[in-house]
This record gives sequence, C-alpha cells and structure tokens, in this order.
Amino acid sequence: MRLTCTVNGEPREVDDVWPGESLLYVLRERCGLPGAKNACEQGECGSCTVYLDGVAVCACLVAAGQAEGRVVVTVEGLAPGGELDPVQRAFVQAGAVQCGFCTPGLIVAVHDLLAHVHS
Amino acid sequence: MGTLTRAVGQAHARLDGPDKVRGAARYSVEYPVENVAYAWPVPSTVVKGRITRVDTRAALAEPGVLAVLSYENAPRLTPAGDPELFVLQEPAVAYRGQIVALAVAGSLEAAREAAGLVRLEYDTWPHDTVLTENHPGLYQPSHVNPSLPTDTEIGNFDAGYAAAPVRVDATYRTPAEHNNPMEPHASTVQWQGDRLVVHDANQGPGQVQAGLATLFGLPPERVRVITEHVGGGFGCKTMRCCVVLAALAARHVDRPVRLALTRQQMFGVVGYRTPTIQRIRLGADPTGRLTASCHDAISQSSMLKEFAEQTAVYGRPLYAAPHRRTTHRLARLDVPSPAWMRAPGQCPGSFAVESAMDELAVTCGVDPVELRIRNEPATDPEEGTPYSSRNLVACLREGAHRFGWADRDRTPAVRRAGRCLLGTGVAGSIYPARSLVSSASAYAGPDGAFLVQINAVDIGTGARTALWQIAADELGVPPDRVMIRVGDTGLPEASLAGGSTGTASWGWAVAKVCREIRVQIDDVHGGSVPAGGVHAQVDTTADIQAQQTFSRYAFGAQFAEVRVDVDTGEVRVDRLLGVFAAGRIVNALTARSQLIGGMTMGMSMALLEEGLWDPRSGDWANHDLATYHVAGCADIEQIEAYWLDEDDPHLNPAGVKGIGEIGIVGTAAAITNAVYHATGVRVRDLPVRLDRLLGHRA
Repeated sequence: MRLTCTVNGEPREVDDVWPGESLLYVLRERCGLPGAKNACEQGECGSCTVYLDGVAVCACLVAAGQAEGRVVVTVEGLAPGGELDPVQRAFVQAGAVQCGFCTPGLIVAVHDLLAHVHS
Repeated sequence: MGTLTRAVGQAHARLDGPDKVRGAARYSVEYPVENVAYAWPVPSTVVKGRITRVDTRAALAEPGVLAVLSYENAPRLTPAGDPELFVLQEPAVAYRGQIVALAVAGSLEAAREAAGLVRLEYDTWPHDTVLTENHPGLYQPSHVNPSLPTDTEIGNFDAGYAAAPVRVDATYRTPAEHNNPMEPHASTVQWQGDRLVVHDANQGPGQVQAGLATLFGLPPERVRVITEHVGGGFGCKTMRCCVVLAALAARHVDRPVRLALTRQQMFGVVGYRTPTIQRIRLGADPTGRLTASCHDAISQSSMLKEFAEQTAVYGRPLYAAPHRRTTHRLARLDVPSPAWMRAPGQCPGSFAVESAMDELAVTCGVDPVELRIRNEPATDPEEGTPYSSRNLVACLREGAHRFGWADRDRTPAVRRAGRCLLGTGVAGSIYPARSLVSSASAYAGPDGAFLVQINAVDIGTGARTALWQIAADELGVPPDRVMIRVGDTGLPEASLAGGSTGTASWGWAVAKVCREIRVQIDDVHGGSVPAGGVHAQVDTTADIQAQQTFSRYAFGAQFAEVRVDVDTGEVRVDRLLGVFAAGRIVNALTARSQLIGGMTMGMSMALLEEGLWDPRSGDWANHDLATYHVAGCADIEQIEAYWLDEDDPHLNPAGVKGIGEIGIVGTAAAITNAVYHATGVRVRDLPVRLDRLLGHRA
C-alpha cells in the first residue's frame, strides 16, 4: 500500500508498505530515519518513541497504516538543521548519554513531559 | 605554552553526544547499503537432539525469499575455538534456542515470515537442565575464568574454622541474569570479492576480525570490522554468532546481509550470567576478626563449552584471615552457554561474601563498617604481594561520613514510617585493575592539529572521550586540536572492551604514542612540525611485560537505604551511595555515569532480575523486557557516586584502574543487608521477591 503522511515537516509518500509493518519499520527502513531504535519491539523500553499528531507513542506498536494522513516527528526533527533542542543539549551537558541507543526515545519522552509541565 | 588546563580530570561532555541526541549516530545496521538482504534466525525447538530433516519448501515459496541456510547447505567454517560460533555446521542440537537455520530474503518481513515456515524434524533425548548443589555431574574445572586457579587453600581452613569461637555458615543463590544491552546484536556484512567488510556491534572489533578470519579461512587483513557506535554490551558483545550468521548468509546469497537479533532471540543465544550456589563459612573471634574463611561456589555451563565463572575469586584478595579456602565446581547441562556479564565472578561472589560479612557483624554485635576495617590485610592474603594501592578503609570511612552512618542503631526491624520498615546496609567492593597490550598511532600535522588512532571501541563507556583527553594532555595541547579515531580494524590493533581494562590499556598506548610524537617534534625536528607532518606508532607489549609484581585492584564501599512495605513486601531503595578508589578519574561526567550505571544494575540484580528457567521445556520462561524486569528511572530515588583522589604510580601512564564494573560489585549485598536491617529477614536468594519477604511475616 501507499502511505501518505508528514514526517519532520515534510510530506512523504511511501510505496510498497506492507499493512502489517510498524511505523518504526517505515521510519527506519523506508524513510532513512534510523534515529528511533528497535530495542524490544513491545513498547517496554521506549527507545522508539516518536510524536504522532503531537502524542508521544512507541513507534514499534503503531501499525504503518495508522500513520496515514498524520504528522510524525522523530528525534531527527526536534531541532532545525544542525541545532540542538534544549532537551538534547541538556542530555549532552548532564552526561545523560552513554551508549546512546535509548537516548533518542528518552529525548522525545522528556521533550513531551516538559511540554506538559509547561502547559 | 602558557597555562594550559589539563584535560584529564575535567568533566568534558562526550564527543559523540551531539550525534547521539540527534539520532545521527550510526549503529551497525543503520549504514545505507545497496541491494541489502535481511536474515532471520530459526531457533531449535528441542533441547537435546539431532536434526533429521530440514524442510524449506514452504519458506522458499514465499515471495522475496532468497535462501534458507541450515547445516545441510551453509558454507563450511573452520572451528575458531568457541563452539558457539560454529553455527549451521552440524545436525546436533545442544540447547533449546540454538540457531539451527537462517532465512534470507529481500525484506526483513519476508525473512521473518520464511523463518516461521521452516520445518525441522529431530530425534530427541531426555535433557538435564537444572543446577543443584548435589548435581551428580559437578566437577572441578582445570581453571576458572579467565585463567585463574580453581581452588586455593592457605593455612588449614578446617582446623581454623573448627577452633573459631564465632561461626557463620550460610548458602546464597543468585539466579541466571541476562545482560540486555539496549542495542541487540546487529551486523551488516558485505563480501567484496574475497574481502569481508563488516559493520558489527561488539566489544572487540579485533576479536571479531580474528574470529571471522579463522572461521572463513581468510588472512585477517582481508577482514575489516567497523564498530563506530555500540549500544551497550555488559560482556555479551564479545564475539557472538550473529555476525557469523550474517557472513554465512551474505556469502550464500552473494549480497550484503543485515542481521539484527530481536530482544527475544537474545535471551537464547548471546550468553547470560550463570546461576550460582555459594556456601560461605566464616570463623572469627568475638570481636569479628576473621580466623578462617571458605567460599565454595557452584555454577553451570553448557554441553558445548566449559565456561567457569570465577565466583569465589572475589574474596581471595579482600579480607584478612590466616586460614582460607576457595573452591569452584561446575556442572555441564543441556542449557545455553553462559558468558561474561558485568563484573563476572566478582558480582555474584560479592553478594555472598558481603552478605556473610554482614551476618558475622550481626552475630558479633559489631558495626559492619567497623567489621570490615578490622579485617583489613597489610598485603594480599593469598598472593603475599603488596597492593599497588588499597583504599577500601578510606572508601568505607568516607562513605559512612557522607551517608550519615554514625550512631546507626543496629537493631533490625524497629524503624517504621507509616506502612514501611526502614533500614540501611553496607558492603565492600573490589575489582581487578589490569592493563592489556595495545597499540596506537599518532600524526602531527604542520597546521598544529593531531590525529590519534587506535582500534579501541566505545560501547557507551565514554572511552573515545577519555582517550582524547589523555592524548591532549600528553601532547600538551588544548583538546580541540586533537582528533581521535576508534572502532575500526584498519586502525592500530588494541585489546577488547572488557574487564574494565579499556582506558588503562588503550590509554597506555595513546599516552605512549603521544609522548613519542613530542619527542620527535622536539628532538628530531627542533620543536616544530615539518611540512610532511610527524607520524609515530607504538605498542605496549614491553611496557606491560616490565610491570612490577603488585596486587592491583580498585576498591569501593556501597551504602543503601531501603523502605519495605510491610503489607506488600515491596522494597524501594531510597538512597544508594558509593565511594570508589579507582586510580585517576579521567572524566568526571562519564565516570559518574559509569559508576551510577553499575550501581543501578546492582540494584536491578538485588530486586528485579531473574532468568526463570522452565525445566520441562528446557527454556527461559521469561525472555523479553516485559517479563524480565530491568530497573528503570522510576526505580531510582537518590543515587550518588563519589571517588577518592588516588595517585597510584604502579598502574599505567594514565594512572587509571577502570570503572566499568566496580559499581555493580557489592551493591546487591548492600541492599539485602539493608533489607535485613529493615525487616529482620535475611534474604539469601536473589532477587528479593515479595514472596521471599512476606513468607517470613510474623
């Protein structure tokens, strides 16, 4: 099937998507966005966290078809160009990055948490 | 040069941090590769048997499927020492979950589907998978890991113990534990003619290069392993079957192949910490001075290979006692091969020894900090050698001060806050400080920039940044003029990331080559770099051979405060505090992360982690992150790591002892000792499950 959605501000049309595959697979294998990681494939670890219409979700638990017509933001899209979002900068400065594999998911989760705290 | 601030000791943010927080750091299956195929392993569904039939018809009929490999058709390998790497070569099955076939397809989903359609038939035999203290197969291995004596005896333990006025005799059990690095094992493999180019998640690119060269009959220089970023290892990313499977598939289908294990698959095939059964006997005088100590440790290995966890090694260099014995016995079972996991030996061993020391303190009515201080040896009690430095007592005192240990009421089960009982506990900690042979190169450019290269690997520890800091200081330049490259077998050969040896070993080679560059610039080139630059390469073989004999160890003291709900049995760790003496700390930011990471993993071991074995099916009953619990942020309240300034001249040029593992050593005992102080219940079997506390409720 063809999947049409917006990823990090860009309209995308992704062809040959198997309806059963996950949004995580679409992002990593079809959109060239490997920032979100596959570490447990069951929504336990949060390494694959992305925004779907502004809601933080585990992309491994979202079927590709559920993203049809919706807006996805990944860790790659949190800050423009080579800049860092304040959450990304804080992770680096505080030493909250080690192997870095869950880091993209944690950053989106913290970004989302802080957005709720401010509101 | 003016006043140049030394880089070593500064809390530099890690060099790879910005790439990692952007999601721009590339891990092993994230490099764009043309025409890549995907492989999906098929695990055995029997425990002990022999494949009698491989039916691939349904799998091969799936659209997009390129091949199904099994022992019948996989390219032939040459054994490379570790039988776990000799995959798809024989019909024999040694444990459930062993990889017996591999589906390869043009898409990941097609490979996964095909793997599920492979039909295997087996002859099977009864299996034996449960470790017990009286297992008839227990034997004395010739040595324990890595190459240490199996048993030791100093003095006469039996006589010393029989004569001791105070005795502790207790048996402790630790379950199987799984490393669970966040990144599953993952490889991208490309055959370029007779050359093999591999992106692989591992702890030793040089080890993987050598292993693949042997397995595939290639000269090592035709195998290149690139390991830029690794999502953690904790011991289980020494060379594993994943990369071998990917290479077999790539050769068979003549295309690049990617293989990333799933979390569930990891539980079966990448190793785990063996369960242990440990009997500790301590004899002491009424003031708690040890006169006799004995540590008998039992663990398991697979039928494929002997892996002898060095559990009882923990206490050998630690506390004084004139009469002492340690033993190891091993049972070979029809189970997956256990392997290295953070602080192998020391971690489970410390749980038993540091628990028993607490039991002795209770028996003698002595403060457990004071008890450990009373048993401080002047020299290594088994080797007789001096310590290069030993600051266990300083760690205990500094920790007690920071934690607020003074005036602690030793009476158990008397502090209560609402529904909770409160308690505090302490444990000692020790881990070997070793350096391994490595080499490094450096280039000084005429523009004032330096390039330092070494096939070290940064599995998340911060090694890349620490080596960069060491290089800058040795070169005598600000760090921003230094570039460092690691994680590629095209760079000078170096030891693997394991045993907390990385910064000590690699830092030695880096320091040496940077000093060599300075000598060349100053003495040969009159103080300025010529137009063609200056190049140097060194290795540390002679330096390490010339080391004097010392007992070299890092030490630590772990303190814990717990709260136990009297109705539910839930244990919360309100506070963990560790003080460590580990030589020079190169980077305060990354070091703190390493230490609190180790402590968190120790807390996870104490309260959560348990590989549950189903003897009937011969398999792990829990094999994912939903059922095998690992501590997360919400499990941690307050956690603090401190270190003492330690200037040990007998280590290595960087003066470091290694900090990757000591944080997990002793932590679990500090917590169970605190649980005893809170509740009066002594939990000797990890983890501290609710039923193990509530079963004792009055």
